Amino acid sequence: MQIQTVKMVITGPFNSGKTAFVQSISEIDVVSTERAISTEAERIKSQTTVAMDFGRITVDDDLVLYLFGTPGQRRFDFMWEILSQGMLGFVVMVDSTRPETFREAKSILETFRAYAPTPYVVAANKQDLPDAWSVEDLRVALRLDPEIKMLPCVATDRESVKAVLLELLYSILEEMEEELYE
Amino acid sequence: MPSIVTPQGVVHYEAAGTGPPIILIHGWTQAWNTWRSTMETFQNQYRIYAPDLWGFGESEKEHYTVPHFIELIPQLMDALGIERVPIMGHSMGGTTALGVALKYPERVQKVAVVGSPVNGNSLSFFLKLAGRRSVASFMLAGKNAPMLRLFLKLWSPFVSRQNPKLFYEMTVKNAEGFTTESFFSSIDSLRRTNLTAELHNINVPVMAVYGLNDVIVNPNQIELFEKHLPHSTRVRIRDAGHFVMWDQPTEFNHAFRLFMSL
Repeated sequence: MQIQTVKMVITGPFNSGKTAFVQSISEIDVVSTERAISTEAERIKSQTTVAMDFGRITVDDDLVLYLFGTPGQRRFDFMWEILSQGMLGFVVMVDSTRPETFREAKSILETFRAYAPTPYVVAANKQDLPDAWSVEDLRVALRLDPEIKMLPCVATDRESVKAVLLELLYSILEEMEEELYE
Repeated sequence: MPSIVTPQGVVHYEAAGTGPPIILIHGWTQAWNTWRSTMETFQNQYRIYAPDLWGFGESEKEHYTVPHFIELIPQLMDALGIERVPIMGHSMGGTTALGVALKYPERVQKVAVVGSPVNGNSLSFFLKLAGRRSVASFMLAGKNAPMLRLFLKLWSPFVSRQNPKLFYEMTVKNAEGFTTESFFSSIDSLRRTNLTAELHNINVPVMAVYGLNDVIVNPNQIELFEKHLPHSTRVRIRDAGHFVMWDQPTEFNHAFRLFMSL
């Protein structure tokens, strides 16, 4: 039996919650490449992804969705283009509590758009924290057009992750419709 | 597997039970088996007929718009020798049932809708998108339609909190029965259907059943019955989505009994 695979990429700045997002929904233990943080400035968490997170959702015996979480740090960005190949769409995670990372999030979004003009959604993560920026404030801060889909997200909550992935699929279908009129 | 032949093509249907007849009509992407548990529950009391609409299940796949479905029902009744009958429809099947009651009032004893659009505008965003050939072709492309299945898998917990697996498995199974054409043409015609202005012309008993968590058809459609058919029976079911009969079978069966007593 031939197994069909579909691939989606989860990207975003350092510490935005990509690994948590993939871990929440993957049915296998995520194959992650976490390493201890080596730079003093980035020691806000103990470990970070250096190659990728790899998660899997089996739809049926012959159909599998793979989620690839990218490393957040710029010095591992050689992985980004490799991971973006053949993706159906991508999610840009933003840590809603850390405005100093918003510029980086926007830059990553634009980098991935340049790799492949596939549909994407922006997930405003950590909405459960008290100092999280609202989705609308984030939209203004990131200078995102109103037609770009932004969703509130709590990456540790499976239901929230499902809602983001479903919205990404909606965007993919919408793009199919738009192509008809181009 | 009984079937009848009409000028528009073969109509397959399933029948069960003995007693006064009732016709049950399935919704978009589904088939007669939507009603399997309902048929099992009520076969001691009624003769229950559940056709596959054209374009779905084992029926012919050449005519598949709501106006075609409305013509299918009296033709099925003619073939079965039924003069007048209660009709219940789920989703698109309910809109069809209302259409039959409006166009052939003499054939319909009473009518019930379950999670049905009266105004096609109440369909969720995905169903509107699915009315496009390009979207349908993409979703149904490839062996066993991987994009459709991926979508259904991610969507299923939102559609049916109680039975996501049942919704997923039934829809994937019933996908064998439709084509790209019947998939998008039927839902596109449903989206363009609006019976709001005609609703008040229905003179037989009407029941409207909606699951309050329905994410496929906006359950606010029940308000149209309240407004235009104030004498209709309206049932709002909590903790149920679009597939009320699967999500809350006890409540649904209660509504079914109430309908048959109207």
